[in-house]
Amino acid sequence: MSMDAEQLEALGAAIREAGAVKVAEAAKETDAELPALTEELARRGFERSEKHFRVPLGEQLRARVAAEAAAEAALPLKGLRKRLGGVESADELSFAVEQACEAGPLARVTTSAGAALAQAEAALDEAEMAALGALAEGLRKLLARAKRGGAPLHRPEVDALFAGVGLDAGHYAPLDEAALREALLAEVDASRQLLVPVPALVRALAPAPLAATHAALEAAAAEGALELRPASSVAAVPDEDARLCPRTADGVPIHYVRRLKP
Amino acid sequence: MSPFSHEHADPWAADFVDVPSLNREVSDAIADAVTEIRDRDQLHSHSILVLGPAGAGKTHLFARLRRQLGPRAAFVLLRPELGADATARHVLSHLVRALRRTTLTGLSDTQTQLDIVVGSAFAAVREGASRNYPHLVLEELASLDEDAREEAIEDAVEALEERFEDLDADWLETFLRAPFMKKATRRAALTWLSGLEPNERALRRIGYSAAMADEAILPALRTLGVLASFGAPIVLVFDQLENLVEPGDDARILAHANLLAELHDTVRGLVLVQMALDGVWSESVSPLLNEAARSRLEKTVLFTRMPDAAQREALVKAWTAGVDDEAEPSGDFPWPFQPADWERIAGATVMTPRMLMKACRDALAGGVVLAAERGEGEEADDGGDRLEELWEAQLAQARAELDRAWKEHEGLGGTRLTGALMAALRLEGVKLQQPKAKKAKYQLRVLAPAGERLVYVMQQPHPRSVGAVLKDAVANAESRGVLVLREQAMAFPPRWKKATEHLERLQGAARGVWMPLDRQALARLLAAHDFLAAARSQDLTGEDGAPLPEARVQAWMRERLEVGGWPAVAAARGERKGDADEGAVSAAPASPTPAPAKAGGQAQAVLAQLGVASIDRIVRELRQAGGAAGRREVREALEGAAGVTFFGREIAYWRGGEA
Repeated sequence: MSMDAEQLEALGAAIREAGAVKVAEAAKETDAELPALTEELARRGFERSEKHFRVPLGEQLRARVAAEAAAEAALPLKGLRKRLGGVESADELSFAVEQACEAGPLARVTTSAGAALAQAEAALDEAEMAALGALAEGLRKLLARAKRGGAPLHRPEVDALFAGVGLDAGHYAPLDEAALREALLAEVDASRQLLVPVPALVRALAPAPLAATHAALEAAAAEGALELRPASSVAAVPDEDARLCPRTADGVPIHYVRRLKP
Repeated sequence: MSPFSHEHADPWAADFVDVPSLNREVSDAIADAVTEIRDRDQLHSHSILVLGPAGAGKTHLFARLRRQLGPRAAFVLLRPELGADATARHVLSHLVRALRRTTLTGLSDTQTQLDIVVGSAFAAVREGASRNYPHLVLEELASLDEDAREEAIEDAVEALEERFEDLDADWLETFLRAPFMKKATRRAALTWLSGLEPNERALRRIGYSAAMADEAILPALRTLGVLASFGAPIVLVFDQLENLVEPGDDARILAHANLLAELHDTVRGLVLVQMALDGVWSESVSPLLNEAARSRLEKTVLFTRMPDAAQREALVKAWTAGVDDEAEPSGDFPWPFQPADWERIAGATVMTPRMLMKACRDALAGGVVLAAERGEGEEADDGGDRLEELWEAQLAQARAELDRAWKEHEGLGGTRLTGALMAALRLEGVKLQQPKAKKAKYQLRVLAPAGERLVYVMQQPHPRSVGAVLKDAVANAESRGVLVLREQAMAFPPRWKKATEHLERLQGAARGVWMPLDRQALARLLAAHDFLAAARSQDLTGEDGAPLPEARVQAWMRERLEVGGWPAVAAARGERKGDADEGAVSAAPASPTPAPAKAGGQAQAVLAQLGVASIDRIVRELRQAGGAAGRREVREALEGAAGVTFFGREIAYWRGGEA
């Protein structure tokens, strides 16, 4: 093998950085020398697929999910192939996902953006899902009754419903408005978009109640930290997003937020 | 008329209400860029992206800057064609056309942007001349005898070439001469300078044998950028860029990005302004741009701001200041609002100028009803009648555009007509492809259930180009469906013998369809294109001032206008119609040249086709078709004819009947 230790170190770093490096780009070894290079890289924790030297797919998946978890997010399955290095086929990727989920560190979850992978402890278990279903059903019935009756709900009864799924009744207590505002601005600052869609912010700040998030938006706008802007997309704002937006005086969804730098 | 009915700004308006503090940051940035170009020897182009929601005042900024900068800048407004990518040639043609517009100088209503650009370029290289008075320089040059003026032009070309190495000398010389040419020659020169193809007579007038080649377009733009920078830098505004977005097709956005980057990098002295709906740009355009493109397109990003309470008050006061109290009694501010309503309006978090104007209108009509107070099922209207009204207005604009084109002795541009046809076909869900090869003679490949069909939009004014297109169409008609469209008013003169032979062959081919389009058919296609673009830009608003959803507009057009049955659309899909609709054209007339007849009958036929026309226009049409009628003969023929009414002595109106 013509590669010295320093070159091998550099190649390893490149593979770790990008997730994978094409075999043809990694080395100009002859066919006879490639097995030795493959073996040397394997000793360093890399694997060879048909066209790549790569960080094993399971390891890449775990690292990606951990990075998303740090931001309290999950790794979307849509477009996953492009986020990993050296994936040769969709089948191979499905197999790696299945293995990671079966082995336990990861789990498939459902998010507002679609199917995703998360750390297993971040996925609700069956009992929690059932309790949540009961909560939703209970709330739905109560709200319908309140609408018909024209009077608000009785707080202890609602608290009892939430207590049933182990949620802290403190969510009903007055929120820490300053903390919510700070979290809101942090979300806006973290976005790379010119305008940040309000529904994305509301979802990111859940379980903060919608009204509290809207109040935080208006407060930030009044202070000159944010500018609220009406919908201006090619298509109408989908209903599931529109219901998360505050409205202008004439009912147009306030769909975007822009950061105003101090 | 209500003072609250002008919710759509006219970019070319001279008289409009303005609150200067509103979006001053944006207009100042553009004005500063213009000043920097005028004041610096080291030229480069500026790129400014202006984003805002519908009704926030983006188009209004254009009108404000025109008024603010007057002759110190030349303004060009480009809006994307739904069916065609912008190219450097497209930009050049719009630039030169826009230069023919008059400036808002207050000095003269005949001084064009072209005069200012040429005058200040001369001023920059002539001793003792001031670029602040370009009209004086032009007047001085116009007063010289022809030899002295020629010498001055040659001196100017030489001086400019010495200062700027990459100018196109031919283009430069023709451009500097243009203001001093006789009317017809100047018209021909401007057509050539704009990269379009002049007709054979026009080419002879200016001593060229063909239109500008592709490789000459960028040098021409470079030359114009430099010339304009001396006194009136070009502010090139790409408006309504949300119309570049086609679901599932990024090509148009990328083509725009490439064009803008090319202009930014290779043409000096331009102020490139892009305007778009903020949400569309942020979600559908920006994510597609690579770093290189972003560094040009999003070099400076400015957002239109919502008016604050003081600006809202200033807007209402400015709008109501124009009220004729005798016709419509008004009150003191906050009229037309009740004080309590005004408090709510002034305190609302988000309020664009358009929303504010709508609230004024509501208040005038009997009280502000906010969405939260509106009962269920109380939608203001279903939009049908309103769409009818908006469509009629759009049609009127399209007819005016056709009249303008003819006034300038030009047919409709091929790109414009292609874009209009594409918009109509896409509305009907027809699959289309545009040729990738630059030299392809056809414009569209239609993939319809009836089979493949090539569409040629043949608007060329020169017989050689027309012959080449028809020859290609005839060859293709052997193996597949072919449709050739041309503006009916651009009929072949008798001397176009070869082109006529090709056309006869096309008409004889089993799969060839020749379809001249009359004024009504053209106007409908153009209006359809612009109507769809306006819907996308949220500029079509219901009686309640709210934008009409694009999908609703499209559905209305399909159902009420029956776009699928328009002859050109039906023919492009392979559903050739023998029984033409009202206002449509015959699918295959025997000949594009009117049959020889007495001038009177011909004049009536021309008038019936045009609807309204001046005597001059009718004479011109007849001459173009090979006739030899004079003004007197035409007037006499029409004065006695049934179905013809005169407005004064010059304008005739066709009331209907048999021509």
